[in-house]
Amino acid sequence: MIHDALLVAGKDLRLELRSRVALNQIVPFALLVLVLFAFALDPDRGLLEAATPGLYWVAVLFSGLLALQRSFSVEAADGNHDALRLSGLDPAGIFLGKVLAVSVQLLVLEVLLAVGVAVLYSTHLGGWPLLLVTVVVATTCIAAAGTLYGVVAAGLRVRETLLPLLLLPVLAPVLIGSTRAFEAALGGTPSEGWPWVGLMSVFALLYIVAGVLGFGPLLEEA
Amino acid sequence: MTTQIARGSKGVEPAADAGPTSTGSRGTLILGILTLVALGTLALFALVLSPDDSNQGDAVRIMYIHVPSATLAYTGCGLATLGSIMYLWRKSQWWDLVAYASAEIAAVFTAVTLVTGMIWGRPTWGVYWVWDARLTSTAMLLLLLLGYLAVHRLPAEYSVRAKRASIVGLLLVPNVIIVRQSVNWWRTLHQKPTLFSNGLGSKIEGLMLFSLFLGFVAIGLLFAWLLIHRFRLAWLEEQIAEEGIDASIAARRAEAGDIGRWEGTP
Amino acid sequence: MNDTWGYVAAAWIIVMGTFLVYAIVTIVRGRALSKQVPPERRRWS
Repeated sequence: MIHDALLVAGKDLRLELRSRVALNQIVPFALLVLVLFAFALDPDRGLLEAATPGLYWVAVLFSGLLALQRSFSVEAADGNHDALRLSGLDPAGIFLGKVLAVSVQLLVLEVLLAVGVAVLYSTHLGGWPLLLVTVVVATTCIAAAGTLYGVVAAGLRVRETLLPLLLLPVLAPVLIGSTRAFEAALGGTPSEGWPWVGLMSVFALLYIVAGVLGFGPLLEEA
Repeated sequence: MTTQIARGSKGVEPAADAGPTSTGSRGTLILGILTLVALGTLALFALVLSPDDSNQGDAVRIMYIHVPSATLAYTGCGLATLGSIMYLWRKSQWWDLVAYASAEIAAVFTAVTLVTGMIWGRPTWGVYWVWDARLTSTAMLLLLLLGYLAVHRLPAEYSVRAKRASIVGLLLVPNVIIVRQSVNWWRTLHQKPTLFSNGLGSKIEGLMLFSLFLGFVAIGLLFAWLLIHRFRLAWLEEQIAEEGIDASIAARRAEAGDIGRWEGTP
Repeated sequence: MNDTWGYVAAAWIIVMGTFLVYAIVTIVRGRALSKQVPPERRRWS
């Protein structure tokens, strides 16, 4: 299973490296979102600074949606679904591989967004242990839930509108948790943030298990 | 002989009254009457016989529908998850349709909960909406249910729809639990808990308690009645979809049969 | 006080109206679809 996962992750990431869609389109989109928030929230009034953690994670969520949509459109475009199914790879491995690939892309995105926020919103980054762990856990949550619901929506013409409808309500706790954790880290009270990391870990675990078990049946007729 | 011929010509007509002509039955008729009686009694007690509340005044009369609706909305959600699990485990269409019907009715009840909550909030808090834990969680419940319903209504064949919807459905209850927990933490850690207290005070008693109890009975009966009808309707919808497929298969076979006969006829 | 009764009335009317509409739509669709399905397949068995 792990071997298959690494195979699939490697394939997805190599694909991305060659096409560079994430780099050329999704990252600029994310930065654009940050800029738009600055237009909407007027930097002079202090709203932007106060809302920075939330805005950061909203930008991550929207960009993550794009990355997930891309991850599944790549498969559908060349009829790869059937190839994937017939390849004999362990479905659980395929799931974990996709989660891994999306996670890597998301992590790169999040680092770049953090730089963006530090520069554009003059955020002083601190509370590093909590920040880093939050980022890792939240990324896992988004990638795991996103891949599971992604395959539920896969192969359908309505995928592009269905996936956000399914995923965003589900990820609301992740938005709440990661924002609160970031607020705690940046505000110098990390002890308030760790419970949120705990909640998100439960979430991540739930979706990894659901994905590992459910990917097989779902892939059968996708 | 003539009688046989007469009967023979009558036999050509479709036996339109051999099966039920609607989703109703003796059982649902009885249940429906009980529901109406219960609702009427509820209205009597809630609106006339019970006193107004010392804090909220007459607005408490909205609570007698609001609270049961909320409870049944979450119950319907739970049924949807149960049905999804059973479908995935036993491949039983019955359970999947129970899940689907429950989810749709739960969505209606959730909307009712939200609307009554908002209408109650205006005279009590002065605003239609507050981001308190309960209302926010209920809004999230509605969104989650709508997602499930969207998957079940996809333009695809039944087995695809049912399986995908069941995966979404099975995760409904875990999602609701996690959402409620995160929203509760979020709204109570930095808020004074007394600021947005529950609509019903801790000392509800007497006629008010009885009215609430009636609310649960009446709305509960309504849920059950709606569920039976909606389930049967869903069943009919699937039959029609299947009919369409069966008809195409039969047409294909007829074509093949004709060709065979044509070639084989001496 | 009268003001509050306005809200109470609005809530009850909207809610009962919603339930009524949903019930009617479900039953009407049920009858319409029943006609299109052969009698032996109209109920789960």
